Amino acid sequence: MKRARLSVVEQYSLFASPVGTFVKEGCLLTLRRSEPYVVDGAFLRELTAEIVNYKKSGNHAVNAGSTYDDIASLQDCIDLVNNIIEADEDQRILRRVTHQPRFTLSRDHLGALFEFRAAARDLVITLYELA
Amino acid sequence: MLLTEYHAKYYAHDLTRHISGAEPDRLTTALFDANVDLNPHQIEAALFALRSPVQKGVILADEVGLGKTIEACLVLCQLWAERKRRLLVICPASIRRQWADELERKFNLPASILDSRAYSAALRAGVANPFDCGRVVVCSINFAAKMKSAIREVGWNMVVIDEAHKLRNAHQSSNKTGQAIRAAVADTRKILLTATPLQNSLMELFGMASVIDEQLFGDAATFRALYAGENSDLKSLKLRLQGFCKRTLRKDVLEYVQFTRRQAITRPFTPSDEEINLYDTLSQFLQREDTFSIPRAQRVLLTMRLRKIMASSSPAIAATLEIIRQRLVDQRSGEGTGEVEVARLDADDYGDDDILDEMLEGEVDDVEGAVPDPAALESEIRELDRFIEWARTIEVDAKSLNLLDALEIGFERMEQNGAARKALIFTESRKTQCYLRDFLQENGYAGKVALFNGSNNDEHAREVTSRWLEANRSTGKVSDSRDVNARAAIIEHFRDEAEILIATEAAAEGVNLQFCSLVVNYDLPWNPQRIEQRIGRCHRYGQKYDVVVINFVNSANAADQRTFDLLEQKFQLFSGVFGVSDEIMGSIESGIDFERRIFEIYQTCRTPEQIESAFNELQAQLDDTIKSRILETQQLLFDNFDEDIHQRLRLNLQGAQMQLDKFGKQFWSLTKHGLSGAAVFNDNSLEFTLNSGWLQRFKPGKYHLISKNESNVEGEYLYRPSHPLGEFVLRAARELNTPIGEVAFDVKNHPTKISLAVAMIGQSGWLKVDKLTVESVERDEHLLLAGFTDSGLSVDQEVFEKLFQCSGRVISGGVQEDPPRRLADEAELRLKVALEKCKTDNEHLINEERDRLYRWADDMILAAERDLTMTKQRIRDANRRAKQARSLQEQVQLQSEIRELEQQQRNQRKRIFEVSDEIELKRDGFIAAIEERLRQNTSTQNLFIIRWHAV
Repeated sequence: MKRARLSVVEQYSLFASPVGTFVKEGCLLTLRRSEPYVVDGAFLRELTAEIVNYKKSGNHAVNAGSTYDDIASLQDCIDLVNNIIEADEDQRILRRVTHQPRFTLSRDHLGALFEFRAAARDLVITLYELA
Repeated sequence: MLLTEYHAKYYAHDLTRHISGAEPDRLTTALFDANVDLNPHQIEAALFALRSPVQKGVILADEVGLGKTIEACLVLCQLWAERKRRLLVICPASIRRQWADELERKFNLPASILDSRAYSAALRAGVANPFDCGRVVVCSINFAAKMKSAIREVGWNMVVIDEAHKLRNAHQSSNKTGQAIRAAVADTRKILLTATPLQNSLMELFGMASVIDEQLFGDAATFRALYAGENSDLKSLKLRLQGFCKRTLRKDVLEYVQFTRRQAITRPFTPSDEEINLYDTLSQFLQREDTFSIPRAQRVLLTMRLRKIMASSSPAIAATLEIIRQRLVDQRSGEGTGEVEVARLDADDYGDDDILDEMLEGEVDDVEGAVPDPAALESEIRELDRFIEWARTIEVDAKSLNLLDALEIGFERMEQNGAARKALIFTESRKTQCYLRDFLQENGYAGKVALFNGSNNDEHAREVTSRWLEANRSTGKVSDSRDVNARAAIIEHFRDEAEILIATEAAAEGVNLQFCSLVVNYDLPWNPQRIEQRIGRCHRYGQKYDVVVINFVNSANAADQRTFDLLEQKFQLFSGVFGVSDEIMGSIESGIDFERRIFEIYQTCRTPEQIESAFNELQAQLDDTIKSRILETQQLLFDNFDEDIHQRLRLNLQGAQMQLDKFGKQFWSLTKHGLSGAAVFNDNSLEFTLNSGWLQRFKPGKYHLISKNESNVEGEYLYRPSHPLGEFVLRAARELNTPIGEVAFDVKNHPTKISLAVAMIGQSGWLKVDKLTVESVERDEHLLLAGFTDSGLSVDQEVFEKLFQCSGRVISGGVQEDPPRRLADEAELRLKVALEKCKTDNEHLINEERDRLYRWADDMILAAERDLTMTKQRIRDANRRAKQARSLQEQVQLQSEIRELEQQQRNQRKRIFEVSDEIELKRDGFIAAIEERLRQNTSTQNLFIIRWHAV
């Protein structure tokens, strides 16, 4: 599964396409397609690195025409991540209240989600500043 | 009944074996030893408190009148019997005496009141820690807080905290007393007693729970969030409370406890003009701030005292002013300290340091007195002279004339009710007490009046006491303390001879006068607690008739009338079945605040309008305090919806009675066996006379077996297992030498038919009796009776127990053969079963504790999660605003804000992980420690082996 997703990154991380496409196809679809709890941490970190690199490369400025699309896609990603984090919170609370085992994310995985969201948020801000 | 040595040894071990947990027969020794009636709810509450050896405590929150004190005493008595004798009672100063008396009289436990004076004296006598004295220690809440280090040093077996609602703010760092008590008793098992577990807020429960164990709930904020806010989960709180809080309601026990009513008679009286003038003049004098008579440092206490004396009687006023005048005269001649000894001021009640502490709480300690101006001092002395003279000219006041009529009316009511012609008159002043005695003697009650006060050393009291000492010389009733003897003598004199007992506040505590049903408040304290205590002397458990309460109200004094109205209507002190309600009484704490408020009105209000408005304000505040909503919550949390409660209590009672019956029979037979030749026994009256010359350390004379069903004979030693002679008999029997022997149990001639034993007639076999000891936090001992018949059938433990209820004789000649191998196998099997049961019980305890600690850990983690929840809310809010942002600049700003909040969220989540790790580690540590404490070490001891025959 991990390999399959990596190939998605490889496919869209050539930065030839605008960030919107990358995010939409690479992150959003992947996040949406998969069950939130099986998105693995390493994959998320790679996505995060791509976002950070993309911002560093300055390519986002080149694709200024699609800024608002990109922002919307990134925001969708962030919303998805937030949903995952909240669902995890609910599971934790349920586990505490019912004392039943629940499926919750590992600390590492949760960290990866937070990192991804932070990078996406950074890019959103940069894009807003550009606009 | 004839016992063999085997019977005796078996009985002795059975009677003294340690039982742990809440096994119903755990309390048998305490119940047998105690001079109290059997009340099933009390047994249940005491067992609840003893249930778990690893639990740090319980709250017993029965409604008033159900005997919480007895419940706690039963526990203390049982622990004492189990030789766990480091026992402490912390209670309000005003009821220390009552506690000590209950412990000594009803439970035969030696108790000592420890206050600053006794503590210093013990230190001077070389006692290292006076708290560790081998007696039950009773001390005030304030003193306990002050001595927290000394208390902490003692490894207490149990600490009882009475009126525990006073510690309801113990979790707040500003509550110094609560914090100190909490620290002092943190590591010990506790019983908290309160009739009002809830007064204003659910946080009070948290406060009290924090005194018991900090791990019952998490932190205060979490408790508030979970239970004290809107939509709180009271169901889950109720479940958590059930583990450590027990409340019995009166309606649950009406079939066991008979309650009688209070009937109020109000006697208005109008003082003469002369009395009114004197009152008004003195009142103005007390309102002045520049008098030397009342030093500033003692102003509140002294003025309050004087105001009460003014309402008592003219002789009391004259005598009190004399003392004050003498102090000024001393001051004029350069002698004296300028301070007034409050205890000398004609009072029995406020001489106590701890009560003073409670009274003066919050008052500025101002010891600087004004330097008296000689001329002004001289003028004030002359003023006092005039007052004294004036008071003396009033020979008979209007109220005392009214008293004569009131007594007649009261006695008539007694006759109608079928109650004894006895009246208990209370006054706050000793001068008034003497004045009333003389007045009543002169007006038809000659020879029928007795006095009771703090010293009890008037001529009549001395005479009554010496007569009593003479009559009780050779009984166990005479104590080493003159004080205790005098109290007992006067009470008995009142019961048997006198018609009227005039008492000061000293009698309002620790004295039970159920044989009297008429209480007269000649003067009325302002503190509702004190009034309740006064009436409670007669209106208590055991009273057979309605109690009539007579009060006098001065029609010429608006403040007096309003105070009376408040006490009567708001506090409902004088009517109803239960007197003042728990909730109302709880809302005013010890009543001292309320008393001060009344005092302030007297002291500051000068016109009827001011008095009216001040009382209206006070009443409105009281209404506020007594909130009905919290009462509903209390009902929801504590009401017992268990429909089986009546059935359970009934079974409890039957079980306890049967157990006591068996216990009594065994102890009596064992004593007859142990003291045969040394005493003459009477089976009908259950008494024996110990011959002189037999073991010097035991006093010869009549001993009477303590009884619940029949009244205990006055003037004889009360014989019970904890009496030194009882202990001796039990020890001797336990240590009997019992080689393998042959015993015939006489089943046929047993007075009652015991079916299980009858079925064994004609059979014989082998029996091995072992004692299994399981040592854990507590010691648990079991007697294992294993054996079989010669025909090869195994015999149940219960059958052997029944055989031992029958007489027996040893068949001479002894046993020639060795016990068969099978006997050891049978014993082994019985041991296995017993151990399995112990293990299951233990696991149950561990699971209970584990659950509690899991819930505590959850609370703590929840506390860490609280901040996170707030951050999430703020992120949601910022996102919403971002969606509505109108400019890019605003958008950038909001996005940055969100970024920061998200960062914060991430850090908080991280922190939760850390806290969870930390708490879970702690939790697991606690659980491991409990498991370690509950690790069981077992040993068995063979008591004897016999060949048996049932004939």
